[in-house]
Amino acid sequence: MAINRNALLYQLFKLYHREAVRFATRLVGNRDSGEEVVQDAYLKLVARRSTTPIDHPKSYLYTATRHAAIDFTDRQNREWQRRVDLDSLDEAHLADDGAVRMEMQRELAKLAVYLNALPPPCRQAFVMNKLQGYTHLEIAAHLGISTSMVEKHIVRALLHCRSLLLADGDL
Amino acid sequence: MNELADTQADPVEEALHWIVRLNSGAATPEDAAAYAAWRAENAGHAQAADEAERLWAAMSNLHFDRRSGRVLAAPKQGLTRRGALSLFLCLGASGVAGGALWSSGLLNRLSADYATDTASLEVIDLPDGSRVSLNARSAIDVDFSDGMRRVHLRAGQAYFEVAANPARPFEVMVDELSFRAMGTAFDIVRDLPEARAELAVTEHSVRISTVSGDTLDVGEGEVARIDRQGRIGAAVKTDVSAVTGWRDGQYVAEGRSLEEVVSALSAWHHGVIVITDRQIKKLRVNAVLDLRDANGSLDVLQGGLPIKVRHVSNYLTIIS
Repeated sequence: MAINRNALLYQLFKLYHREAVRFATRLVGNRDSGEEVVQDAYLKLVARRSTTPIDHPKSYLYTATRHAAIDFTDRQNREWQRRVDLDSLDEAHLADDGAVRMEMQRELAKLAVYLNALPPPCRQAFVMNKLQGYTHLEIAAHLGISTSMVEKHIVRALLHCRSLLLADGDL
Repeated sequence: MNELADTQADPVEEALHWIVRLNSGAATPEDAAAYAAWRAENAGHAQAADEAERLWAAMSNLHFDRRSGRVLAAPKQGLTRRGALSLFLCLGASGVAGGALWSSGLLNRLSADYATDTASLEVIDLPDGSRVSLNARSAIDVDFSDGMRRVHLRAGQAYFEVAANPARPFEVMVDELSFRAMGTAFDIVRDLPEARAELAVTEHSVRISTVSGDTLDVGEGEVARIDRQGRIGAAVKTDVSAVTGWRDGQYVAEGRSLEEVVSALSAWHHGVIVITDRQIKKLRVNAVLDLRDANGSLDVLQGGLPIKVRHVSNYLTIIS
């Protein structure tokens, strides 16, 4: 049973490798990291030795890739944090409790990955409003869409993040 | 809203819709009040609102890396450079504290050389030995050339300590307003509710010039305002240490309007502060407030003024 499953995973990753890497690259920002993430995803699935059947192979692969991207991002941030002077009033660092801070960083890693998975116009509207502080009117002008479309994009980005946070809750 | 509607619509989704609308840049005090009312309707709404607000607040710690076009979860420094991220929880809604005043400075902040976030102070050492202290939600561009040392105050407030150099004048620009100094120390804040800029000189003097050719020399211990029409007001002797109190995390209000005080506090507040009553905006305030506790400071104001401060949540405060 285990051997068949590993064979299946191997075939799966071989078949969808290029797409998986392209997806992972979007999530973590560059191709090398994307390749590493797909490798991680594969190794993790193989190591898990699960016996549950894979009903939807492609979505299984994508979910595993997303999870590996989250781990990767989280690990990268922890590495970065060790090297950076944390002197700021950043809310993520205000938490004195190390465990709470790790939780917050983990959640941020998830949010970053989820947002990067969004289609460009949707992500752009969200980033411009939430992270860069543009008004809906300014975003609409910049993107050549209506303000109601801008509002829909941003709401969609939030709902997307929320539903994935719920789905990946125990990660 | 009846029970049936509640079970069919996910209240967290609804709360997120509200938050998006309140951050559209077109929200009104009525919108904020309507959200507060929705929130207060029942425990389910309150809980949903908490969850939605928490998600929105958590996202403030994300960064956008312009180079790669990605959202990053990397930790930020309080100070950012051109090309990198400038993170602001800014609402830009007219009527909402900071409102239209902020959106006019917004685009400037985003591409500035140096910018601070909400509730952040930073000190920048310039190549000539001058030093600039930035208040929260402020931004400058540095434009030094052989003959001229120019700094553009794109948003917020800054305190300048200028290294003397007669061969190279030091000039701060607030849009087309010029503040020229040779070896002095002074404070400039832009986009106050009733003034384009306010200058306070702590050492020597500064010359203000407008595009129309009006000038005024402001001396040590004096404050001058340029109104929204671009007219320079008279230089007034003031306790300038009060004006620069923000550098120690204190805001000293001496006869300032409530609107102005709230505007200063909002740069240190991570949510929305709304003044719903237009008349109270002009109330005069005399107080020493702790910028690092914006909500507490608002409560202090309530003690001395005929206003009601309602903390609807960590995210939303309504003053009426």
